[in-house]
Amino acid sequence: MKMKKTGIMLIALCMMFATAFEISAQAAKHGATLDAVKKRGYLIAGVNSSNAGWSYLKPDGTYEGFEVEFARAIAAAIFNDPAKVQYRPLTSKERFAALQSGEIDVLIRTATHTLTRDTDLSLNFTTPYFYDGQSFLVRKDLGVKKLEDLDGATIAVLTGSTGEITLSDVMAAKGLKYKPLLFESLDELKNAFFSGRADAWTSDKSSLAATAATYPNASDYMTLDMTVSKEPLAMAVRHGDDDWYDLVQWVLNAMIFAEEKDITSVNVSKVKSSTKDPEIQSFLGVKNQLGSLLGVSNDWAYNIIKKVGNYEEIFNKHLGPKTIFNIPRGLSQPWTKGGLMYSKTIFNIPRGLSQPWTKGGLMYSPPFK
Amino acid sequence: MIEHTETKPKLGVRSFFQDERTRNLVWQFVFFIVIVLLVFMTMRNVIEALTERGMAPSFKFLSFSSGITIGETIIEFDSRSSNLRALMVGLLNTISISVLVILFSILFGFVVVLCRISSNWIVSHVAKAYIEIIRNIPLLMLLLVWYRAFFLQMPGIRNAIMFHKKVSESGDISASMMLSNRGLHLVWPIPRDSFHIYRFILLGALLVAIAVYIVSRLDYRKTGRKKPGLLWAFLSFVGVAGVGLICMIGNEPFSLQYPVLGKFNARGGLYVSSEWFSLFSGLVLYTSAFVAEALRAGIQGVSKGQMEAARALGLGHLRALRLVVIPQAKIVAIPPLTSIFLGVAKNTSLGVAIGFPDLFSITGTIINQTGRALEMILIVMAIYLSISGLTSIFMNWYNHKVQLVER
Repeated sequence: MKMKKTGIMLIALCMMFATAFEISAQAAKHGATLDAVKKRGYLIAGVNSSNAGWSYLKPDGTYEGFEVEFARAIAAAIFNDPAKVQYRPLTSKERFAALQSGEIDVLIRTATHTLTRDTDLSLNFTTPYFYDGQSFLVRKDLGVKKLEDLDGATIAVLTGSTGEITLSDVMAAKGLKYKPLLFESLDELKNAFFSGRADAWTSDKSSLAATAATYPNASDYMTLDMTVSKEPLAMAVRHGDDDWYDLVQWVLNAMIFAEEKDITSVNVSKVKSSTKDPEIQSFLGVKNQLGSLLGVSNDWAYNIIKKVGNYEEIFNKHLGPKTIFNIPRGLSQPWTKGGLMYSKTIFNIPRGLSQPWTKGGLMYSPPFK
Repeated sequence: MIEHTETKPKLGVRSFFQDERTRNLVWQFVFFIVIVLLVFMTMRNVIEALTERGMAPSFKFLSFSSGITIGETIIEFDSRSSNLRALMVGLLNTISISVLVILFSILFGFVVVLCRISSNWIVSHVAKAYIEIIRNIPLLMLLLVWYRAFFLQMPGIRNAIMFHKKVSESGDISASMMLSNRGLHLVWPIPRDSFHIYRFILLGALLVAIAVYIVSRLDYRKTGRKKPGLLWAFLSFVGVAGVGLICMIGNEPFSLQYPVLGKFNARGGLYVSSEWFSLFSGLVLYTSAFVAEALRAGIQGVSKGQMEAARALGLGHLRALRLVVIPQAKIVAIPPLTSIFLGVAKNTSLGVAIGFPDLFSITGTIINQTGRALEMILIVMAIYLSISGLTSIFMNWYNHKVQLVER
C-alpha cells in the first residue's frame, strides 16, 4: 500500500513539473505581456541597485534614479500610478536571462544596444534613452593622456559589461598589452582601484562620473578625454510581443516629445485645457484615441508627464546641475556643431546626443499622429 | 529453496506480485522510468521554450574567438583564442589552486591539531580559539576581509617593499623581491641555452632517486627494518642535480631574472598576484580549521589505552602518536576529510568576488559575451561534478587502501 502511494505521488509530481514547463514555454505571445501586467496589477522592472544617480536602492527600501523614472512612466501610462512597479535588482550578468525567462517585463539597466543582444539574445531595444561612451578613470599624477600611455597597465573592469570586450578590442587594435582585473561587484572594484591595485578603471563615462563623485578624493582622479566606444543605453523587452514593445517605446517617445514642446509636469494641465496645437491635443488625449491603439487609456501621455515628468525634468532631477553630478546642460555643444559634446571633467555627464533634435541632438520623437 | 522456485510459476499473476523480490524489481523499474521521463520532459521543454524564442541550444560558440583577455593564465591565451581555451584557462586556475590549497591545509591542519591536542594549556586553547573563530566566519567574508584589510593595504607598486634594490644606469629599478598591493614579484631562474644539457642531468638524478627508493623498499621487504626511503631518494636527487649544477659553472643552465619596475607594473621574475594569494591563503586558513577538527575526531577516536600502552612500552609522546595513534586515526578521519576536500574546488569559485579569474569567473565572462547561459551553466556543472567525482574516487580508493592495510 505504502509503495503504491509513493508511486502515484511520483507520477503526480512529474506531471506537475511537465505542466509548469509547458506554461513557461508559452509566454511571450502578442499582447500577452500587457495583459499579464494589467492582471497582476503592477509592472516588474529589472534595474540596478547601486548605480548612484541612475538607479539605486535607498536606505528605506525604495528605488530612485534616472532609469527608475522610466519604469515609473510605464506604470503611469498603464495604471495612472507610477508607484505600481516592483523593482528587481539585477547584476549585469543576470539581467538578460531575467528578461528572457519572463521574470521581468522590461529591463532598464544601463544596457547597451548591440547587434548580438538584439539578435542572439532575442531582445528588442527601444531607441536610446541616453547616449553614453566608454572611457578610463586614472590618477592624475600618472600622467596618462591617451590610450597608448596605458601600455602595460593593470586595468580594472566590471565583468559582464560591454566594457570588458571593448577594452580587449581597443587594446588589441593598437597592439597594447594590459592586465585585466575583473570584478563582479562594483564595491570590490572601487575598493581595489582606489587603493592603487589597478592603474585605470574603464567603464561608461556616466558610471565613472557617478561613482567617482561619491569618492572623497575625487579630485585626484580624472576621466581620459576620449571615448573608445559608442554606448547607446536603451530599454529592452523580449522578442515576440510587439504590442508591449510599442508601448514601452512610445512611453519614451512621449517624454522626449513633451520636452520638445515644453510640456512639463507643472504646466501640463494648463496646456491640456488651452492648447490649439492638434498634435498636442492628440498627444494629451483631448482628441483622437491614440491611447487605445497602445492598449492603455487615452490620457496615458498626460498621466506620464503629470506624475513623472518630461525627459528634461527627470534628467535634471537625477543627473542635472543641482545634483552632485552637476551637469550644466547649457555647456553641452550639439554634435552637429563640431563633435559629440564630451566634457573634460569627471563630474560632467555630457548630455551630447541626448539633446532633443530641435537643438541639434538626436532625441527625435516621431509625430503623434 | 529449489522446490519453492519450481512451484512459483504455477501460482499465476497474483503470486508474481506477492514475491517481494519481483515486486522490488518492478518498483525500481517504475522509478527508473519516471526519472528518465522527468529528465526527458524537462530537457524537451527547455529546448522547445528556447527554440521558440529563437535561442535553440548550440555549442558552436565554444570554437569562436573569445575576445577577452585574462589576467592570470597558466597556458598561453590572448583575445583571439577560442571560448573553449578560455574555459581551459579557468579550469587550470581552479584545479591548480585547489590542489595547492588541499596540500597546504593538510600540512597546516596537522600542525593545528597537534597544538589542539597538546597538553600545554595555552597552546591548546590558542588552537581551539583559531578553529572556532575560523569555522564560524562565512568564507566569503573571510576572503573579503583578508583581501581588503591585508593585501590592498600593502604599499602601492611605486613604494613597494623591496629587497636587494638596485638602480641601473638607465634608471631601471630592480630587486630580488618586491611586495606591493599588486602582489609578490620574486627573482626566478629562467632556463638558458645550456639547459638542454642540464635536462639530461636532471633526468639522471631522477633515475638515481627512483633506484634509491626501490633499493630501500627491497631492503625493507628483506630485513623488515624501516628506513626513510623517500627522504634518501629526495636527497640523492638533490645531490646529483647539485653536483651537475656545480660542474656547469661558467655555462649555467639558468639565469636569474630580476623583476624590474616598469611604468605601471613590475616585469620579469615570478609573479604571484594579491588576488591569487588572498584566495589561496584565505582558503588554506578556512580549510585547515576543518581539517584539524576531522583529524582530532580521528585521533580522539583511538582509545586512550593505545597511547598509554605505547608510552608504557617506552615510546616518546610524538613517536607514540606517529607509530600507534595516527595510523589508527587515519581510518576514522578519511571520510570526513573527503567531504572537506570536495568543498575546496567548489569554494574556489568565491574567487570571483576578489577578482581572481577562476573557472566560475571566466564562465560568467563567456556568458556575458555570448549570451549562452544555459549551455555554459551545463558545462560548468559537468566540470565541477567531474572534479568532485575524481576527488571522491581518489579518496575512496585511499580509504579502501588504508582499511586493507589495517586488517
